Amino acid sequence: MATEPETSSEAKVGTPCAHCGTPCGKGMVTHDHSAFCCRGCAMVYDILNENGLNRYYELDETAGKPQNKSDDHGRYDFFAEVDVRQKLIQFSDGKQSRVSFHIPGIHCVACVWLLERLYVLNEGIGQPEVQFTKKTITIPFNEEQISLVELANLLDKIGYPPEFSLNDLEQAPVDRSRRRYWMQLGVAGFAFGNIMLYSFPSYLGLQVGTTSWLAPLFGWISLLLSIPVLTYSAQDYFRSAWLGIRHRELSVDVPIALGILALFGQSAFDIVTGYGEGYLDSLAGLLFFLLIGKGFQKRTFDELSFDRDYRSYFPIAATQVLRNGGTSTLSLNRVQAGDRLRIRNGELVPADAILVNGPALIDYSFVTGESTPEERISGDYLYAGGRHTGAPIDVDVVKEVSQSYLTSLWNHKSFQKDHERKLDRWTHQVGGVFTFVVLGIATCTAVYWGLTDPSKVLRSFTSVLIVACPCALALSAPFAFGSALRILRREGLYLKNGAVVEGMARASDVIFDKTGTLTHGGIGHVTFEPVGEDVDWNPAYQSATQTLAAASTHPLSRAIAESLPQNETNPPKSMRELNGKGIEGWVDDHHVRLGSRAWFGEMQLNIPPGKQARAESWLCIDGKILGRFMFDDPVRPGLEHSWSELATPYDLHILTGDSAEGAARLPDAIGGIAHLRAGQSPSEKRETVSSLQDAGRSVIMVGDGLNDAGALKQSDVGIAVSDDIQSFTPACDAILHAKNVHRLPSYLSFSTRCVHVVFASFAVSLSYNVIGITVAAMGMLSPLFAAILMPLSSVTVLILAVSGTVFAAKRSHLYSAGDATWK
Amino acid sequence: MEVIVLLLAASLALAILFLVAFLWSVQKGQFDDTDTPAMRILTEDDANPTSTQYERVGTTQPKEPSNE
Repeated sequence: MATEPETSSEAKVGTPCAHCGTPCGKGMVTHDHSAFCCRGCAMVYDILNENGLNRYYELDETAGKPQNKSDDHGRYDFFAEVDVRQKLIQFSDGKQSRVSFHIPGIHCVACVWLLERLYVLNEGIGQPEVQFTKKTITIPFNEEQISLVELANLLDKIGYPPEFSLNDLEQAPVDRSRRRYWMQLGVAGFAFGNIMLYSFPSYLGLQVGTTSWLAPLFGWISLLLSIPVLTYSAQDYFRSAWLGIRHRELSVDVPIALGILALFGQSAFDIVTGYGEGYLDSLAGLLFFLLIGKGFQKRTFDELSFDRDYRSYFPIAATQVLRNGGTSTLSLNRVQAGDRLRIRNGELVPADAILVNGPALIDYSFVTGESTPEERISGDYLYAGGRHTGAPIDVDVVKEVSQSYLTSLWNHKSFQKDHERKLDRWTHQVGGVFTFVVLGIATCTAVYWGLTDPSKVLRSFTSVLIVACPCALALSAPFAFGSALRILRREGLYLKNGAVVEGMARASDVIFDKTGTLTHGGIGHVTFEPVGEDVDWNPAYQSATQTLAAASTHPLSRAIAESLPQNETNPPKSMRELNGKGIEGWVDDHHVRLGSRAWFGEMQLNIPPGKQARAESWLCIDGKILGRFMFDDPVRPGLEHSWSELATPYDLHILTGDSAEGAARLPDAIGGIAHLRAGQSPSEKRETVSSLQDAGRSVIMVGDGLNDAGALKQSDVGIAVSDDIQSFTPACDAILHAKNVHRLPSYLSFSTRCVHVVFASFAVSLSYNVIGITVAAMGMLSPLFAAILMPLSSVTVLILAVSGTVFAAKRSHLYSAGDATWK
Repeated sequence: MEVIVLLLAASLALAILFLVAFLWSVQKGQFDDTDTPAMRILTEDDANPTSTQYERVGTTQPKEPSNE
């Protein structure tokens, strides 16, 4: 390195790291006129700088990942073992080898650029090739100049550690179905182009005078060319239609399969008997355009899925334990294998990990639906998705967080709500009826023309079958909602699935929790008031209180923890948290209790008489009441303004566990326009929700993921407010970062507009079908033209759905807010 | 006019040749990754030649001009 990195206290804490973008905290390092959050990031910066690879930062300003991890230099030594090598090495002749690594850290263009220039860093490395979607890199290298282990260490050094979990070292199978798709498309395109050439004379109406054998010749060639189209390219449609019929269902592919068969059959008959030239150009063209449409749809679906878009990660943060024992917050997409995380009471294990300091009480209700917790001891393997209860535990992450896995757990049917998803059902019903109707119309048309003008029978029959496109009806909702999902995620609101958008649009009432939702939860506004003059509020007691409070995810506990001096002692030996009452635990041989006045009363701890503060938490250590913490709880900025916007379309409610005096502290602008109820227990909140629902209202609940779990589950749409520390309950439908609470009116108006977009695309699709089928039935539409129109209608609906939602976002001011991204 | 048969045969043969070439390239995996090449285009600079993997192994690479 050029110069020794200096730790400077002058540069501001909070400046984003020049390498990875995380705000610099205590471990900040300044170097070369830039600030870095840790020595690791500074090192990577140096390596890139020295080798002329600065363009990395030009391509993506903060492309790096935080390097805050343990210096475990021997991590990749086991790569030298024969059986592990075998899984990684694709080819080797002893000297030249080619290895394939899975690198989960690949997430952007800059990563691809840097990794494909790895040869700059070592002479023994050849030209690597990155596969972005699979996040793999294939590196040819010379074993005499650099060993496999050294190569892995080099990748680790620049911030792209290869995956080393043994389970994942199995080579992924080649994607057969994608290749098949390309080949089907190729065959169809080839046939289409060539058959069209041979159909030219008949397009131009040419008579072929003396060479009367020419027309049949063209016909026979066309027939030959269309056979692979029928048997290979059309396979999927026949298979799907056949499966549908066997299950007595009329799937969308049935009319298409029928149309294909009819076209081929009639054309073959015409050509063989010499009656005509057939319609094979339409047949090949139909399949070509159908396959293109299918490919396009698939690509769009893929792009809407979570994992591809690294920016729209689960907005949950984990607490990382640093090497010096301190902790820092780490957003989930930055968690790497080898990181040590601290899991508090009620928090999720976000990735497969090994328990470091048990015991832990883990329940897998999130995964299996079973909420019976099981005890785990140090060294045990914990699967992602488990929820921990009790004193905080430390775990070492083994595999990186799988976004898609967590999302699929979230969508597990044990968490599905019974509420109707009207649009969804309606779409299903219409789809089934549609096919039936189309077949009916096609048959009638054929019969009609058969009786009046037989020359038009095939043309009209097949055109009707082909032009009818219910796929648009079935796709409008998923595409529009999928696009809405993506937009909302980018703007800070994370929905479980697309159907939640519909739920939000149908709401009539919105219920808010107070502490931590409407307000900051007291962070930064805490004061401790001792009970009397002689109270010994010594550092030992403060430390014990801080440790206990830090072990809880309740907003008030966190506020207390943050107000006391941070310490790096061990977590509490044991603790329990009672919703709505308080927490108690054993820390360093002190018995600490922190909680509400009512709870203290229950435990017969006598609180000196006096005025109850607006928000307070009483502290009792080793049986002595020391005093209380008081919270000043201002409302979140921006909320007063948007509150009135919300009040117009919706009935607003505020339910709080706080006392009536505390609730009265809310500004009139807010408390005045809502139904306010104080002193609510978690179960009372849930009952309020269900009684509103019984009265026919549709309820959105916005609250704390942990403490309002019951109400969130009961409501039609439950939005959990998250504030860096996650308190996530799977029964919620959406996660909202605390700083975005004031944008709720925008989110809701956007959802309503999206539902309108869906209806609009339904209308467009319907009119397309009506017009198309009419024209086809009249025999005025050629099958070829129908073949072009059909995928065109799908594409139109798709474009309409996506652009409609983007437009709706603009109208709902979802583009104007600056600080919307979740980093 | 009979020459058209020859023309037909020739054009068909050529077309089939292209089809076979396409199918071969699909089987060889050239169409497996359609996303990364799109990204590479955005980052190509003239200083970086893009020869195949096999040429590069074990040879000294020209270092990128350093931006000092």
